[in-house]
Formats: sequence, structure tokens, C-alpha cells
Amino acid sequence: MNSSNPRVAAEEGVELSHVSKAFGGFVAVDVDELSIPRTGVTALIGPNGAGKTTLFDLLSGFTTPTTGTIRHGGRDVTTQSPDRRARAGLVRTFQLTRVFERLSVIDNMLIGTLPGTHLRLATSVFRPWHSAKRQRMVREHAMDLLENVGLVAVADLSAGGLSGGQKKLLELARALMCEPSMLLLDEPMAGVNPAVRERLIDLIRGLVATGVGVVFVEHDLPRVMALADRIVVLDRGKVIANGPPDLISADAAVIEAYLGGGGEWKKTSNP
Amino acid sequence: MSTQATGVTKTPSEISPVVRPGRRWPTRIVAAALVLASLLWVAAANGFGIGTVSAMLPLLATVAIYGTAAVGLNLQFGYGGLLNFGFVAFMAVGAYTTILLIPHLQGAASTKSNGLLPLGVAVVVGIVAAAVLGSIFAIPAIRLRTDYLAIVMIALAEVLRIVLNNVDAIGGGVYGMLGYTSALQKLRPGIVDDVANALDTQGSQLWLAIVGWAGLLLVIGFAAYLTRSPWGKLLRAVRDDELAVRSLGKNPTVIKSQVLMLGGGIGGFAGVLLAFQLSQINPDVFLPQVTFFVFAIVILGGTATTWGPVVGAVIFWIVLTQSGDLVASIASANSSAVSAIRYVIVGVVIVAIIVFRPQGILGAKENVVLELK
Repeated sequence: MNSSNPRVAAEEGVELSHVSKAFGGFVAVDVDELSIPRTGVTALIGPNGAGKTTLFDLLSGFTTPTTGTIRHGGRDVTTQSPDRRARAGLVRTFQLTRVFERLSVIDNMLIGTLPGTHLRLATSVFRPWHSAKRQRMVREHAMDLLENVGLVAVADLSAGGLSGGQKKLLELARALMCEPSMLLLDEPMAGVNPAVRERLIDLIRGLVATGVGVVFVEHDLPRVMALADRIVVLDRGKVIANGPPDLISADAAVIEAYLGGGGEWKKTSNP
Repeated sequence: MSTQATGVTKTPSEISPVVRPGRRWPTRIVAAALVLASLLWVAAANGFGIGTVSAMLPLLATVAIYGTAAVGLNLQFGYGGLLNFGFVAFMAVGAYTTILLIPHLQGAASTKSNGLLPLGVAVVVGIVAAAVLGSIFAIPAIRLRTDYLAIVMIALAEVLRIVLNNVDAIGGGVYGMLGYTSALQKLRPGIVDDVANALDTQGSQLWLAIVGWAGLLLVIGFAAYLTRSPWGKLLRAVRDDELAVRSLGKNPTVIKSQVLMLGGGIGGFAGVLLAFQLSQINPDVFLPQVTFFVFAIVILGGTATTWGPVVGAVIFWIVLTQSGDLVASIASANSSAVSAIRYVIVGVVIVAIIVFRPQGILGAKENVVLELK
């Protein structure tokens, strides 16, 4: 990680400079400089109310910063809408799953398809032959992804009937339909049973191997240490530590004490 | 939102299939029975005689006109979740544009206007004008939450009506336009008159009913095709969760503008049909109550269903027109009281539907009832 030129990595990822987000008088996020590389696994940790979800909203465009600029792939995307950012490859999932409950599992997947295809009104009305062919290919791709997350058997059933864990898997698979270059997962493992969790971890590893960057929020520290290439620690909206797991785990004792509910979190060195 | 169940993986047998409103047989049979019963009511009121046909034809034309409007509103409200309380504006623009383009008499002095286009082209221009109005309305309205959208829409529709009332140059102001129905009636084939004579009724009435129902079936086919298409599924996804749609790289604003446009075009077509039934129009034909009639029809029939608009239109109009006679025959009330009480009865029917079957006659409960777990 340290051997590669951080500038080059940052150019392709997401960069925040002097970004703050205030709700009334309350400053939820206040980040001086933070760059998240396009590849590898970045974990975002911090206590409740540290600003993790707000930071996610800022990265994905669901909220605009009060001050500062956000760059993605070298371009300023500070005020760009979330759907444009998703089309540019920055796709997120939600802490509380947002599947389309009244659509079938496979239709949920097809909504995630890249834009400019069969979802367009004109193509839907006139259905040219190449669109039908394309639609079949998209469907096959969706079924492959459902196979990966173990939802093929329920593809034609109502997504609203899935269990919480299955909805998490569906949301992840649906996000992959957008062919993201960076995937932002907000607590993908919360409320998921151990078997499904293993499946999720395998999936994330598989994605990273194919060059997709993953940013995720997680509370369970051993799991974070095992999965992440780098860890960003947030507290009260500020980045208090940022670096590879071994560097962060140097402060493991503090972290344990902190997550155990005790005291303040000591400021660690910024690499 | 549903509960986040932990530690379970449901098997296919534990998961319900996708709800397809209006496609369950018991529902279909009940809906068909209700429609049939309503029609029999009209027939019975006319002693099952030959007079039934001439009594029924204007009613059937009205059902076709309002059914068509309801298909357009159902796209916007049922499938798209847009609470458009200004729907009547689309009908007004469709009607006004088409009539202005064909031969008609206009204003207080009944000034003759020779018309610019043949009827078919004028109708298409009317539909396009209503669709364009839909996309113009979309600009201020689409970013608003549903309740605010409703308020903006009703205001825009009223602004349009009041402008038409006060600008004599467009459609003759309060005096409106008349003398245009021959454009449609001169296209009537001879066989329609023959059939009408055999049934002891007027050819013009029969022709309007035929044109209206042809239009209604065409519009239903188009809407059904569209709502089953990938775009239709995207539309439902926007209705259910805009944020999730955004997170997948689709712009809900675009989809909502498109459905305002499409539903508006269909509403414009319904407005043209309405104009031909009334044989004269003025801005006060397009009062806000027309929007609420169409809403009542959509809700009665069942939102987000293919045939709901037709079932709703039949029951709404038959209850509205026949209940007056029923009341008059039971109690000897004066005509204005009878006319008022019809609306009371329709209101009671709607309240009963909302209480006992909130999804409407054909609808699926999942589409209307909040899940409070």
C-alpha cells in the first residue's frame, strides 16, 4: 500500500478537502483532507453519531456539503446528483435496506441495470429487436449475480417477503448491476446471520479481486481488521486516524477501551 | 418499512409471490358481477324495453370518456404515485386545442371559424398539447413532495381555467365554443345509422359511444403494455422508493416528467371526447370537480390496475345517474334536492369502499394500506 504513489491512487478515487456538513448548529462531519483510493477495501469505523452515514451521504451525493469540495476520479462532484455519481461508478447501499418491496427479486435487479438501455421510455414503447436481445443478456447477468448471492430460487417472488439478511444480499447484488467502480456499503453485515455474513465477505473479496473498490461501515473490529486494506476512524465528525490495519491496531487497546464504552479516543498519527 | 429479521434465511415456500392486482379470479368475478348488476339496474329502470338502448348510450359514452381520463390519471397516480389534483387541465387543453383547430363557432357573437386541420390531425395536436402541458407543469411541480404537488397542480389548473374564462380571444372566453360536433358526426358510416334506427335510437349517440369505447380500449391496451414494460417497472420503483432509484443511477425526476406527459396526453384525449359529447364547451366545463370525479373512479376501480378505470367509471356513473331516479321514486323530493342527493349517495359509496375495501374493487391491498408492524 505504501509503496504505490498515493497521488495516483487518489486521482482515481474520492478526495474530500475541507468538507464539512452542518445540520443547524450541529456539525456532523468536518474533514480536512481525506482521500479514499479507488481500489482495495476501505473500512469506515467510529462510534454511533460519529458521522459515518453522513460521510456516506456526502460521498454518494445524497447530501451536499456545507463547505468544501468533493472530487471523484479527478472531477469536482461536490454538487453532482446521486444518480449521476452512480452512473459514474460510485454506487451505494443503505444501512436500512431499500429494496422495492412490491417488485419481484429479479425486477429489483433489472432496475439496477445501466441506464441508456431497455429502461428508457422510447425503448419500452417500441421495443426494437436489439433491445430485446440486450434485455435477455441483462436478465442472464442478473440471474448470475443472484446465483452468487444464493437468491436464484426466489428470483420471481416478491422482494418484500425476503428476510432481512436476504434483502441485504439483494441490495448488494442490485448495486452490482450498475457495474460500480467503487461500492459504498453502509453496514452490510448488520443484522445478518453468520452463514450469510460469510457469503458477503467472500463476495466483497471477490469484487476487490476484480478491481472494484469497496468502502464499508462496520462496527465489529476483528472483522474490519481481517477485511480492510485501510481503515478510516471517525469521531464527532473528524477523521482521527487513517491508515492500514496494523497501524490502526497499534492503538487497539485504546480502540477496545473506546468501543467498550470508556472515555475519549486519543488522537492518533495521520499517515 | 419492514422489520429487519435477523438470523433467518427464508426458503421459497416462505415467501409470498408478487402481488398482481386485479389478476385474482374471485376479484375479477366480483368486479364483472358489479358491472353487470349496474347495467341491469339501468335496464330495469327502463323496463327492459327497447328504450334501454337510447337511455344507455349517453351513459356508455360518459363511461368511456371518464374511463379514458381515469386510465391517464391511473398512470400518474396509481403507478407513478403523483397526486395530480390538476388533472382536469390536461382535459381542457386537449379539448380546447382540438376544437380551435376544427370548424366551430366562438364567443358571444358566435363568430364562425373555418378550422385549420382535419379532425384526426387536430385530435393528435390536442393530445400533444396536453402532453406538452404535462411537461410544463412538471417543471415547478415535480421536485415537490406529493401533498405539495397536489396543491400546485390544483392551482395551475385553476389558473388555466380562469385565464380561459377571461381571454375572449382563446375559445370565446366565458361563452366558449359550439357547433363543432359535425366534424366528428360527418365521419359516421351509414351502417351506424341503420343499426341506430333498428334500436330506436340516434345515430350520433351510437357513433359517439363507439368512438369513445374504441378510444378507451386503445388507451387501456397502451397503458397495459407500458406498465408491464421495463419502464413501467421503473415507474413503480420510483413510486415506492425514489432514493433507492437514485442510488441505482436513474433520475426519478425524468421518469415522473414522462408519466405526467403520457398521462396528460391521455387526459387530453378524454377532454376531446368530452367536448364532442357536450357539443359546446366553455371553461366551466373543466371545474376542479371533474378531477375529483376521475380520482373517485380510479379509487373505486382500484389503483394500479389495468381494468380498474373501466369498472370504476361504470359503477361511478351508474350510481350517480340512477340513484337520483331511485330517490325520486321513493320520496317525492323536488328535482334540485334529488340532484344534490345523488352526490351524497356517491359519497357514501366511496366512503364504504375506503372503509371496507380500501384497495378498490380490483386493487391489491398492498398498494394502499400502510404496513404497521
